[in-house]
This record gives sequence, C-alpha cells and structure tokens, in this order.
Amino acid sequence: MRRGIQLFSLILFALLFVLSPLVEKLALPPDLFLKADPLLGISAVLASRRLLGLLLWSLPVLLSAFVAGRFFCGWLCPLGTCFELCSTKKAQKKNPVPKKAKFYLLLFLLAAAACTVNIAGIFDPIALITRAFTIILYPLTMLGAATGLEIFRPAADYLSLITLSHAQVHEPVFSLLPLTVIVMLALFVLNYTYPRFWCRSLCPLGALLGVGARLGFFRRRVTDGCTSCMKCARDCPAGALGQEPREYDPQECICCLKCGKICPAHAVDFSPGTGAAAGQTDMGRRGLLTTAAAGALTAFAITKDTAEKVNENRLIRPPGALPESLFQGTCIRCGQCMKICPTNTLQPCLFEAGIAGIWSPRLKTRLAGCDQTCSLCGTVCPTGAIRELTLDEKKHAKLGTASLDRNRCLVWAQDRLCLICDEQCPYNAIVFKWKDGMRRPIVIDTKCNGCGFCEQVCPVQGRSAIEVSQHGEIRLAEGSYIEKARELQLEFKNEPGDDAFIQESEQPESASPQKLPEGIRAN
Amino acid sequence: MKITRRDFIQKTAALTATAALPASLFNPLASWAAAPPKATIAAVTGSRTAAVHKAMALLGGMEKFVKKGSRVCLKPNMSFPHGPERATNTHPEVVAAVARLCIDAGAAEVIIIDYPFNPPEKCLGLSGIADACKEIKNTHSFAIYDEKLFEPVAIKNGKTLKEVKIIKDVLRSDVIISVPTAKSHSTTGVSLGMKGLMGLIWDRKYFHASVDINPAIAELAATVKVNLVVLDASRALLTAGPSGPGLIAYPNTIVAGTDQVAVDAYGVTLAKWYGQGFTPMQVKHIAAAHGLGLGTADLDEVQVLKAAV
Repeated sequence: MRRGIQLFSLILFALLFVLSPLVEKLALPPDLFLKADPLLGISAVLASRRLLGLLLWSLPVLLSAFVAGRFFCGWLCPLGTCFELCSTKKAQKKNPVPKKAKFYLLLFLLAAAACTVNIAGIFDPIALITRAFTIILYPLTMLGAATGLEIFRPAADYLSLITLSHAQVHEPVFSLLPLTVIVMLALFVLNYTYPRFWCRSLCPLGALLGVGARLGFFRRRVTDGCTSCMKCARDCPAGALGQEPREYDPQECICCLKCGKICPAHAVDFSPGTGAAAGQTDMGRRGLLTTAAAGALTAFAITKDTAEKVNENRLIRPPGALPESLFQGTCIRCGQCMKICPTNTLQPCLFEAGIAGIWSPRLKTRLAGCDQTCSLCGTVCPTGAIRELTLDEKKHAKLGTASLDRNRCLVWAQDRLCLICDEQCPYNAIVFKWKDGMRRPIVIDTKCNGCGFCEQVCPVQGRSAIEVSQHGEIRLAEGSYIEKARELQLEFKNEPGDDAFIQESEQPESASPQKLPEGIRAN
Repeated sequence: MKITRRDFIQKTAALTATAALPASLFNPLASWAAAPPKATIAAVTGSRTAAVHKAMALLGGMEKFVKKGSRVCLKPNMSFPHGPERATNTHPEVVAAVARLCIDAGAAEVIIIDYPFNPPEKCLGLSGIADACKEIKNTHSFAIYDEKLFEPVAIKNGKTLKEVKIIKDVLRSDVIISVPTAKSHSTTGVSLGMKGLMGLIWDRKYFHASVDINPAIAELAATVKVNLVVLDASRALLTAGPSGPGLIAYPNTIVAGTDQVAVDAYGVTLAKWYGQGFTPMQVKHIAAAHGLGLGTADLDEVQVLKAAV
C-alpha cells in the first residue's frame, strides 16, 4: 500500500508539473507540493519578513510530523520515491556523511533565513526535484518527442496525415543544465550505493520533520517477543535502528513500517504514545550555536555579495518580481516560472545575482523576449516572489530598458537597411531619427517595457546591438504597476502612438514632411 | 488619418482617368485592343467575403486556378499576436473566403501557412485565422516555427540571393495563393504580396543584415511561384508598419490577380502611406520585381476590373 501511495504522489507531482500551463482550469494548484513544503514556507517567511499565505498550505505536512514524524518522507515525498525506486535492494551501508549533517544544514538555512537570506530552496527536496524536472527532464522529453516526430514525418508525409506531418514541438533549453545534471547524478549515484543517502544525511526538510517527530506520538514499539535477530536493523531503509533493535531514532524513521512487516517474531508495532525515544541523536549545544553563527555569517557575506553583483550585472527579473532583496528572500529557486514560460526567456541564474542567486529566474533576452500577451510566471510562483498580475498590470511592470549600441547597430555603424528591432517591438518604443541621409533607430525609454524582443531578433551576430538592462525597471512589493507607470509618465499603450519619424532636432517638425522608409525612392 | 469612401472614389477615379487619358486621346475607340494589357487584376470594394467572391468571379472564377484534387497553399499575414482590429494580419474573413472558394473549386486540401514571429500559436489564435477556417473541410492552419519544415531552394539567376530555405508545403503544393494584408513597412515602405513572401523563409535576419532587402524580395518572389494574389486592402495600416500600432485607413477593397507585381502596384495606390503616398515605381522592391520582368508595376499597362458589392 505504501508503494502505491508513493507512486500516486509521484505521478500527481509529475502531472501537476506537466499541466501547470492550465493553471486556471486545475482543481489543485500546480505548485501544490512546493506550497505544502513547510521548510520553503518558513524560510521564505523568515527571510522576507512577510507573512505568506502559503504557510497555511504547509500546515498539514507540518502537523503530520508531530503525529507520525517523517511520514511525508516515507509516503509522499516525490524525490524520496525516486530515490527509493533507484536504489539497490542490498542491505544498508554506513553513510559517508553522518546523519547529523542534515540537522546542521537545517539550522544553517534557518539561521540564514532569519538574517534575510533565503537559500533553503537550493537544498529543499521539493524545489530540487521541481528544478530537475524543469531543467533536465522537460527538455529531454521534448527532445524525445521531436525525434519521434522526425522518425514518423516521412511516413506522415507519404500518407498525407497533414496534422502529424506538420506537428512541431518547442524544444526548451536551460542554462545550468550541466550543473543541474551533475548535482542530480551525484545524488543518484550516492543513493545507489547508500540507499536514501539524501534523505538520511542531507535533506533539510527531512530534518525539519524529524525535529517534529521528537514530539510525535505515533511511535515504534517492540514487544518482548523480540529475539534480537537484527533483521529489522539491517533492512531499515532510513538507518533509524542502531545496535539495539528495541530502540530507534524517530528523527530518522520514515514510517515505512518495513520493520514490522519483516519481523519474524511479529514483535514490532507502531502505536500512539509519547515520550523521548531511546536511540535519538542530539546535536549538542555547541554544535547548535556554531551552526547558527555560521548561518548568520554566511548571510552577511551573501547580502554583501548580492548587492554588489546585482549592481554590476545585467539582471532582468520576471515581470512582477518583488524588489530585489525581497525577491531573493522569497524566491525558492524551484524553476516553475521557467518551465511555464512560453518563450523560454526565463533562465536560471548562475552568479549574476550573487552566489546565493543561483537557479533564481532571470530573462535571457538574447534568447527570447517576454511575451506581451502572457503573464503565466506569476500564476505558478508558490511564494509570490513573482506577483500574479493581470495582463494589463503586467504590461506596465517595466522589466528594464533597451539601449542601442551605435557602434554595433547595422544602421548606425554600417549604413545598412535594417529595422528588425522596430518591426518586432510590441510597445512601439523604437522610432527613427533622420541622420546622414538615413533613418536610424533609437529607443524611446518611456515606451520601452524591456521585453527584449529587439535584442532577440537583432541580426548582429554575437552580442546584440540592442540590449536590455534592468535600468528603469519597476519592482513593486505591492500596489499597481499601472499607477506607478502613470506616475513615472511611461506609456505602454496599444493604440496608435506618434510613430512619426523623429526629425533632426534643429528642424522644427512642422517644417518638413515625414521622412519615408528607405525602401521608397525619392520622387 | 482616415480615408473616406468619397475621398477614395474620387482619387481612384482621378487616377484611372489620368492613366487612361493618353491612350484614349490617341485612339478613343480601340485603346485596349491596340495595346493589350500586360496584366488584368480585379479590384472590388465592399464587404470582405462578397468582395473576394466578386473579385474571383471577375478573374474567371477560382476553378481557373484551382483544379480538382489539387493541393493549395495559402499564405496570409499572421505574423503578429494581434486581433484583426490592429490591421497587422490578414483579416480572417478574407482568408476563410479564399479557402472556401478553393475547396468549392475542388481542392483536395488547403494549407494555410505562415512562419510568424513569437509566439507562433498565439499568432494563429489571436489573428482569428485558425478559428475562421477550422470549420472549412480539408483546410488546415499552421504556424510553422520548426526549421525541419523548411527546405533549401536555389535561386535561379539570383544576383542578391543564392539560396533560401522555404517552407516545404510551398514547394509541394500545386497552387500557391498569397493572401497578404496591406500595410506600411519601416524598411521597404509597404508590405503587400511580395514582401509578405518573407514569411515563408527561415532566415529573415539575412535579408536585413546581409543583403539589400529590396532586390532580395524581388528574387524571392521570382522563386516562389505564386499563382494568385488576393490582397486584403479592406484596411491599410498607414504608419508604424509592419507591427503597428499605427494609423489605419479603410480602402475597403479586395485586389486580386495573377500578376503579383501589378497587384502590389495597385495596392500602393490605395492609401496615403505615411501621410503622403507614393507611386508603385517609387517602391524599390516593386520596381526591382518589375525590372526582373516578374510582372508589371506600370498601372497604365494593367487592366483593372472594378466592381462594388
């Protein structure tokens, strides 16, 4: 039965992941598992100093820990299930990393969060598996689909199966793919040798739930029938049993009930009751203090690093992203926004936002622009680091400003006919200036939304001649972007603007007729 | 600015009169007989669907172009994720009317195809074209974005282009019908039928960055063997083309013909582009196509069959 529930949970997780674009039609939120993760919630609340509604979602899991310890780990965690499916059936070996490590990691993360730095998402199992699904599995599946289509296309062409012969799939690509693969491979390799290595030694969520288990009242008991055959201790997938099979560590036990099932004497039983269990490991006061101090010190370093990096790097956050420090405090690096982004512009950061900003989303505008008719990223953000905006609000959430490098622009530098940036600009922010006998593009900053389509399509090879930076971005923790844009006298209208070609400044506009495009010969 | 109907009729009348004047003065009775027109096109004003029907009737009916069992490829403008009100895409009614005529003429299948800008599915959806055509039997709309669906084609005698990658369907169809919308274009001046063919090729950046776009368009038009052009000038995006938003005029006209240069040339005269207007031969890519002998941009040589519905 446990395996059934585990598979159900994993499949539900995968389904919600796949179906996330239908966010409005789903009965369950696509980020259900992330929302239900108490570690992510607590860390985000601590770091952002904002009470987030998502804590409510995680209450059931948190409460389950007080009832039955790490029940979530053994029955529901999709990453735990994957690990369990991919480990050997061999008897457990001693882990190379002590099981205490996860408690230190948990405390470290919480201490950092208390100092406004939220890096829990980097280590959280649900964020980890969501990220792996986004960055590795999703592109891999689409590659498989595309390859399949190519195999069938000749047949479809021959048989005149029009829809099949025209079927196309988007093949998304994510930066940090190699790093993400290395991390996941390492975890799975370790897991193969040491079953549930991650869960036993590193998982900070497991540690959090384990702490709850100390008070849990659903306990393993061993009756007098025990013959000390040690079968249970050898087979325990969580390594919760030591030398004495009558004792166990509730902080490690994942409630899989295997020990009860395999006991030849039927001497093991799980039943309600309280009190400290014999066999429980403790961290020690010195360890606690040192770890908390280390977390705080790291938070200090990260805060300074972030401030510096954000200022010197091109970093365009998704539309509706909270102000940067708050954003980093709230974002859990799960990658849901990147997965749902239809243009694939949302990409994980490496160190553009500082070392702690790794895997947080940014727009890679050379790769793609931000679609004017889409505001999906905000709908799947579990913590509200990207606000859920209406299309109109989203259009006013200025991402940055494009700037044109006249030394690289084909029109300015080489007198060539090119207007792709103007043609593609959905906001009409590129107009022309008549200079040296040619119409040359310039950017109107008050109309530019920073969506980046100009940068994507610029035909200059290598670095684009027109690039978006976060200059002028609007990041609001609350309130209306439309009003803010109005206050800043920006216009993101979809009505005919003054697309009149800008004249030389010394020429009064009324004095000369509008200059015509280059493709028109003078009369 | 808006072109009123009266304005439009007066101007076209004046234009036609001027065009016809020298010939008729010289030989009032047999002007057409003496110098047979190099091209015949139809220009019909009125509601879109009826105008398409009338225009095709004036050209001898769709059956003349679409034989029974043939495979037809329609190339509308559906490059922008905008609704019909923005006048950046071909109006869905026009595309649907042409597709229906093809099916009624006995086409085995009609494929409506374009390689839109990002994001393809939205262009297909928001343009209204997919919806307008989904009920028509054996008709399929596709927004292509996968390079694998393109095929390289050598440009014969190409001076500017040597090879382009074109959507395969175009190469495998029996009939190619271009169904462009009329709009301004900040590089080429106007974007009508021939400019619209750029929506069939994979590497559009090359046209802008590496070669002179005007002769390139003419050579592309010479390569894609368009059998018929049905120009949707029911609206004309006068400024800020091709993407808008810009000023929109309503010439309320459907222009159709087999000579893509002539149709484009006539299209140029239908609106006051950029508040000024210009002659067909002023448009470099149209002049280049005329120069290649692809058709005629000289409206004196074009017989325009006019009607209103």
